Amino acid sequence: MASSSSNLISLKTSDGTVFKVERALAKTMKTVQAIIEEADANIYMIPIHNVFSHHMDMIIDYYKLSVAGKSKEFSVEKLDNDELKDFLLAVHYLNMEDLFEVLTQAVADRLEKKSVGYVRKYFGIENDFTPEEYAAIRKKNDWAFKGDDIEPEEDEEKQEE
Amino acid sequence: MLIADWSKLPKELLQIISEKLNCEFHELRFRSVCSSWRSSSIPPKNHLLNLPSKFPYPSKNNNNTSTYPIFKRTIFLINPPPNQQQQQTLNPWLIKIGLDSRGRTSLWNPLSRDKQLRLRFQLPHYFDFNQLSLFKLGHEFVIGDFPSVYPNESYSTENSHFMKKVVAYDDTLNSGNDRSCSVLLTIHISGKLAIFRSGDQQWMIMPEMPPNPYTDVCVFNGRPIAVDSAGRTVVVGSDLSLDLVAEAVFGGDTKYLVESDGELLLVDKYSNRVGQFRQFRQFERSDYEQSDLFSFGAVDERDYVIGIERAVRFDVFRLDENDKKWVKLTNLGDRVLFLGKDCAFSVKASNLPMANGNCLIFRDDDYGRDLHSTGLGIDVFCLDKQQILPLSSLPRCSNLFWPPPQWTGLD
Repeated sequence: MASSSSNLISLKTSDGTVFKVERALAKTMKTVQAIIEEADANIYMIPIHNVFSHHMDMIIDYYKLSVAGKSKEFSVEKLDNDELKDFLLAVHYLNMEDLFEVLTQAVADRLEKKSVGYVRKYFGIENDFTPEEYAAIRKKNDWAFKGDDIEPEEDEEKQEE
Repeated sequence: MLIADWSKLPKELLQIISEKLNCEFHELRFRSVCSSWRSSSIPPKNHLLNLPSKFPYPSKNNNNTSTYPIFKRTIFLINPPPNQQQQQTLNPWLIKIGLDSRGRTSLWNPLSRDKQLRLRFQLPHYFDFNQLSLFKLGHEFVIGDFPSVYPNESYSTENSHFMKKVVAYDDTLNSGNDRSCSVLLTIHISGKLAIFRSGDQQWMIMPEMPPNPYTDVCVFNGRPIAVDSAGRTVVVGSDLSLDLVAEAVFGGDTKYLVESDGELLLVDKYSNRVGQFRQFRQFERSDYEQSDLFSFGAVDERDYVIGIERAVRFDVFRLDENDKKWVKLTNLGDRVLFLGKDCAFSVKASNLPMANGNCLIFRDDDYGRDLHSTGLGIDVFCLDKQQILPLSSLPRCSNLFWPPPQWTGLD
């Protein structure tokens, strides 16, 4: 009868797949939760744009692990950078706090040990600074504290590219 | 379908990601990638906000007029560029980098305060950090002129010798105001804590005389923490009250604090006195009261005795915050602890790479050391064998420090 008494919520991804998920999982998605609360009438199918079925698979994996207290075992290592980016945007759209933390940290970790050139190459970003802007950035001391702090770019040669 | 590419991620996402980076060096790189990344992130944190560029040494009589510059030095682990890794396992390089008193970027012995490491080339040479993979292991602050102008650096009578570790943290009391400020914390030679806040002219020596002199300070989770020679550990509140963090363990002679894998550890050093010497001061400075010098066994203000201590073993403890106790650790697992004069940090053995962790890398003070020896003076204490070995006997470990690995092109 009234689906609000049901324990399962139906979510339809943008590629048309319907996932029936536990209410508790839907509650971790603040965007979905807001839709449920907004709708006075019984809502039986919630469309989630920007989320694909492979994202939902991973979301469900994470949910199962965290319910079992094993959220640390969740890994996105096998995702390439583009897949990770898409997943991050999906989770951001769904407004899922914990998983969002995990993914933003994963991105930061990937960026962390890499040089600027590497970051641009592997994330497919174009250097849109003009040569003058870039030289100014390299020279400029980003710290307010003058002189006594380390300027990592101090002893470097100008970029060859 | 999402069409946003990485350069056009929503600003709030980029900001959150940039906040999760390990150190300001990576934040700078993040901000150099492209314009939208740059505009989404906040400039890296300055540890010494609203503090002067020169400081006097802490002293009970505040008529100090001499001030000395403060330098921040960072310890990095540099990994070889990925495209070179196919041939062999290449060593990473552990360096401490910071400005010297003349404003030149220099490399320093990571565990010493005033020992520089000189690269062989004389001609101007550039080393592009932007192309390397770096990981920040820690940083330190030193106040003084380095390298010292005196030829025998170990026996320098410059008072920078008396300076203990200096740490910086955010002044939460002033965080309500517009400008945020940093506070410096160190230990005065009497063993009491000393604080320097924005707007101060002199260090404020905290009047509380602990039962035992404080031997180390650190900042853990943003909070300033101090430990005395018995292991009693306190946190300094924003109103300068001292609250107990852990009770004393007694045990050895000096205690140090290290953060490892998100936990606070206590290192208890047992030392033997292997000799002493009397050092005549070359200057008639009265920066320190007589009573301070007497704590060093001085006969009069012109000379004092320095004991030569060598570490014999170490115990390590982890903090049980709830019970306010230090709990002894028998095994550090994969971790390697580094104890420097002004910094302490922990690294996973697998990142170094070392076959096994569970050891502590340290450096005894320079007194009594053969001044002509060219080594780094670094030793390794293995917890399992309870044994100290010189760094030179562990080539894989020694190659981490010096000479620079071949792939750097600096050797």
